[in-house]
Amino acid sequence: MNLSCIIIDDEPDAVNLVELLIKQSTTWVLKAKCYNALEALAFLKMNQVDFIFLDINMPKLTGMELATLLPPRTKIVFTTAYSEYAVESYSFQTIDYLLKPITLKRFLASVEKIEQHFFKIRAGISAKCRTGSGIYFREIRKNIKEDFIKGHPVF
Amino acid sequence: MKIWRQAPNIVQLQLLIWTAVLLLMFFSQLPMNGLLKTVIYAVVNATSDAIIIYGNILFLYPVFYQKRRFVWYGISVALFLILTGMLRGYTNIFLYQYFRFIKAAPVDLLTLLAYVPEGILTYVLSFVFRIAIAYFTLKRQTEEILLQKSQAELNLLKSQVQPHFLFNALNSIYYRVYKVDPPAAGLIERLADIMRYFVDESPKDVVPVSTEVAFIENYIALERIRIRHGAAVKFEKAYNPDLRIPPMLLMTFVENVFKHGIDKSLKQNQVAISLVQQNEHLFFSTRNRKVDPQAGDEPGGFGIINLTKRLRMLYGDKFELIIDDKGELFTAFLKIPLS
Repeated sequence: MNLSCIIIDDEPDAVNLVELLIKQSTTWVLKAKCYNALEALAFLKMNQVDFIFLDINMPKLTGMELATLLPPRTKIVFTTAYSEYAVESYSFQTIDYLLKPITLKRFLASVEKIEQHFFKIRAGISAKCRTGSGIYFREIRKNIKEDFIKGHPVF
Repeated sequence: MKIWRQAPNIVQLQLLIWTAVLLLMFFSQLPMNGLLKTVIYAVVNATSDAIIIYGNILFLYPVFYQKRRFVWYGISVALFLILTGMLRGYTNIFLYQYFRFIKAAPVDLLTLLAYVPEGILTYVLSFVFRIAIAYFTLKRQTEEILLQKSQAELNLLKSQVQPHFLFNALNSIYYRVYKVDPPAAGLIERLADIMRYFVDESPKDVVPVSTEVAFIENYIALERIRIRHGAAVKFEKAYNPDLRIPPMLLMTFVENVFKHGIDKSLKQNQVAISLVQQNEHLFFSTRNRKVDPQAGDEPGGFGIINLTKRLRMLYGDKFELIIDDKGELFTAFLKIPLS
């Protein structure tokens, strides 16, 4: 699926792991790797992504604090060693909560969850489009028919 | 001597004091009297002092004084002191006469009453004794509480600070290993899952049986890689996956299987484990060949004793724990109610 994301984590190995897993098992576009929350905030002001991988325990600004500053359309996948933030995390636009170490098995399950999430959203939008255009064409067809019956020139 | 490795307890302390009193009486009289006479004197007097002190602090004081029956207390103390004083006098004189230290003569009341005043002094001392015992008891309790507190704080530190460092470290290690050796990374995943279980699940009252089984399977997988020729582990499972059970009830047995039931040099190691739910009960059993018959750790082992205590707290006498190590095989069987 065609999705874009960024990774935010202060530990290089943690960033590299998620990057490797993305490359190996998805077709997503990794737009940036950020090593603190402020860097990520600056990037997200200028660019739009579908979702972010977000660590919680980071210096200066924590992942939870960053989450409150994000626009609602930016979805979040938390990546953390702490299981105790799980409940709190779902007060944001959270798709998944990955506990470290992030293993291949767990990551694949998350890929499924993330793609399902965006698949539903996109299917919802296109369905709306389809029903919208369907009504439009029906109207046109009705007009054509009426014009035809009445003997007006159709085009 | 084991007793002296730790500070003496209250009873030992009192024994020590009475021994000292006895010796003091003995040696203070020894130069003036003969050996036998001194022994009689020391034993009779120390015994009478002990009767007065314990009679007051263990009986008269709590029964009368602490229940605010002051008059009764006064009367009973007076009677008690006169009685013990006269008894001490009589015993002394009787024994002295018996061993012919003094001439045989009828004992009159006045002579016996002369023994009473010394008892009054002992009576006063009994309060000092009482305060000393109370002080040492309190001191010991305080020390125990402090020890428990520091132990609890240490456990808290262990369980709250370390895990996150360890999980983050494992995340880094997982990445570095996964890059070059994905199957090895799978073992790190199992280890991490075990640690996750300890930190997040084991403190709970109940966990899903599937979580418990996953924990056991991770443990078995990590044990198996340490065995040269591997081990054939048969794990039979039949239960409702939604079932919840208290954590860490089954682990002790599995741990024992790998501790005592596996010979690492052997080509074939066979282990059978089964976890079956039937009606309102859960049956768990392990079976393995006995490898080290000398390993007396099994039936009376520390793990089993602790497990039995925990089972009793959880289920009273509604559980069954049977360990059979008589034949060629070692089998452990546990039946717990589900309600």
